[in-house]
Amino acid sequence: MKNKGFTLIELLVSIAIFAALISVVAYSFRFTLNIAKYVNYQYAQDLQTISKLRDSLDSIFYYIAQNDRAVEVEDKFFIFFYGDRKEFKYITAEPVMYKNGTLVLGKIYKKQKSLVLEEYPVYDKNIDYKIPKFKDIEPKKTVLFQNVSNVKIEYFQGNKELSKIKEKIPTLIKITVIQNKTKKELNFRIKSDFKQKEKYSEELFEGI
Amino acid sequence: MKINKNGFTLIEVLIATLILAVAIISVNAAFKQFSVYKQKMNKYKNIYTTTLSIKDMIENKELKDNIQDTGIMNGLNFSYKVKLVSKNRNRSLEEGEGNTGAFEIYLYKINLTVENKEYTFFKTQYRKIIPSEGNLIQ
Repeated sequence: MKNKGFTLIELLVSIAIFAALISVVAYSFRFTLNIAKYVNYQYAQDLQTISKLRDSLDSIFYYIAQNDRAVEVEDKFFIFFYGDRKEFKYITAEPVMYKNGTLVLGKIYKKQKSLVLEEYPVYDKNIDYKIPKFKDIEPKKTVLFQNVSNVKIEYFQGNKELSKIKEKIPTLIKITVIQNKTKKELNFRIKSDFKQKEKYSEELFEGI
Repeated sequence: MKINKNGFTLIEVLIATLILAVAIISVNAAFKQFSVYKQKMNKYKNIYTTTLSIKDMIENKELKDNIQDTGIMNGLNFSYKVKLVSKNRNRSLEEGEGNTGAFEIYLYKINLTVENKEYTFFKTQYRKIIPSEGNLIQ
């Protein structure tokens, strides 16, 4: 039997290896305990953005813009909403990134490999609130979906499907994205029944 | 420097293997739990966003009593059933001429099932009735 014991180098190396192993085990143990926190944080943020977008689109404002050629044209006023298959622009009173109650101009479109939302405050000094237009100001941006290869936006007014919409508010916006080769569909309803009710009531009681 | 050429004893090798095994198992367990949790959260996120999308899609439709439908959205099976809870009619009256029309309000209860989970919500719907000439709405 060898009775010489270990050299200093052997002892130091074994302590270093042991310490490294203990650190890995301790980190894994701590990570396991806090796993819910790490994962929840990421998903909570994603879900919060989608929920906020849902509220934002639901609060699309019947913003009556004024035509700049008001004297020349018949239609002096129009509702601000424009959309096609690739993007749509709207005005909402419940923004995703600005303080609640701020009237903003929102634009949803595909930029490179992401579906992004841009918001511009309507009452900004650089925007004419009568005819809201995107000018050279830096908007607040948020990414709604990453790794998107294709985006298709559809609009519905009741059961009627529209590929393009101009100066009219749809009742449903359907966004289809191909994300990581998987098709995802999101529907956002804009509640306009109260308008319908108001319109019907007005017509009905017109003669009285 | 003197080099020990005898190699390790069985006990030394066993202890070293045991320490390494504990480290590998704990790291592997953490990684596995992470991926399981992530998958679970992905599923939860999909169910949450899809259920709200289905709800919005149903609410956009013109509903009628006792209609039901099934479908698949984002890989989730869903079905729904519509039941009329109540309806009310406001008549528009003109002096000496009787009714000139009616404005009906319907309250529907919708039972939505997404991946065997049940959700209930309500929708109010409005309809205008204009009488044909000579016919009055009761």
